Amino acid sequence: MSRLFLCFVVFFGLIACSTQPLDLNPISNPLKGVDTQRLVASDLSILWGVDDSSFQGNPKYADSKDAYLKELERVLIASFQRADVAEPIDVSLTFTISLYRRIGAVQARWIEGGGNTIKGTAVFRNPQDNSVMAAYVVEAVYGSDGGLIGAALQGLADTDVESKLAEQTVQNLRKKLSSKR
Amino acid sequence: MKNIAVLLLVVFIGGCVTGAPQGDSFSAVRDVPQGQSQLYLYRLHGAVGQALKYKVFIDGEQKGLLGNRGYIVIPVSPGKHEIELKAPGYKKNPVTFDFEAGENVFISAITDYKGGILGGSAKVVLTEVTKVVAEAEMTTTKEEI
Repeated sequence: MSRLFLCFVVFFGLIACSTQPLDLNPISNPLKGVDTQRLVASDLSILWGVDDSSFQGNPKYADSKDAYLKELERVLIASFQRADVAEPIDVSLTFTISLYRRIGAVQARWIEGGGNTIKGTAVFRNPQDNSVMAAYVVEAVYGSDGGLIGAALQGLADTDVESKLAEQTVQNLRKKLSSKR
Repeated sequence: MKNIAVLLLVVFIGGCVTGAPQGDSFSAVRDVPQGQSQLYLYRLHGAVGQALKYKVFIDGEQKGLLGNRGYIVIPVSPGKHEIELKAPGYKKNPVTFDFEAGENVFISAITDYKGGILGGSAKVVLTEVTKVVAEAEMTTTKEEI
């Protein structure tokens, strides 16, 4: 009797669940199957969404921010406004920066987990009707690779954090674009 | 045996309240209702707890559910309100936000998980974000209906 009851429970449980599918592994790449190397952004813009009013009047922060934005623009143009693309797919690309955590290169190498972290959202739209083709949240982190003295020396010698963060931002975006999941 | 049956029943029913949002993808921010304020609460894709829908509480009253890659729009009266997202086994982490009449408040919900030898702990961290950020990030989400 109890086995019969158990079978009923399992049977109806499964039916109920089949009406509301679990999205345990959602398709995260809407451009899966598209040759994303063909994407050419006829319109490209970078938006600053970080509330950094507490850093107003901090010249070091302002310099870092300006340098990062210039580097990011340079790398995005190099990646998404290439003239040598055969059969380009015209897109409009907006990159919105939502997190900008910046400390010095030396400290960044000491602090595990990324003292320097950038987070942003890249939204690709169809310029014809402005519909969203795909959107990706990407992160770039520049941080420790171990060893206190070595890290300090590395940090002192390796100060071009902005260009590294910008390049990593676009590399990570490219990875998401080419993801088969 | 009956205990197993009850357990299975609970698990299956529990499973049925999970899932991804079934509404439309985010397209644009709506106007705030007259004399009100409006909360946009969204949750980006995250590996931890992705099958769970979090219960959304405002001032202790449940207002809806929020799934992975979902957003929910809730009109609220102007003033301070305590917002909390709850899920089984998660630590409490309510946050109070100030709502002004005629304004949208955009809040991002992120699951913070810390692992440990004897099991980890999770909580939902709520952070107010700018409209620019919310509009971009919500593009990856669907509305909870």
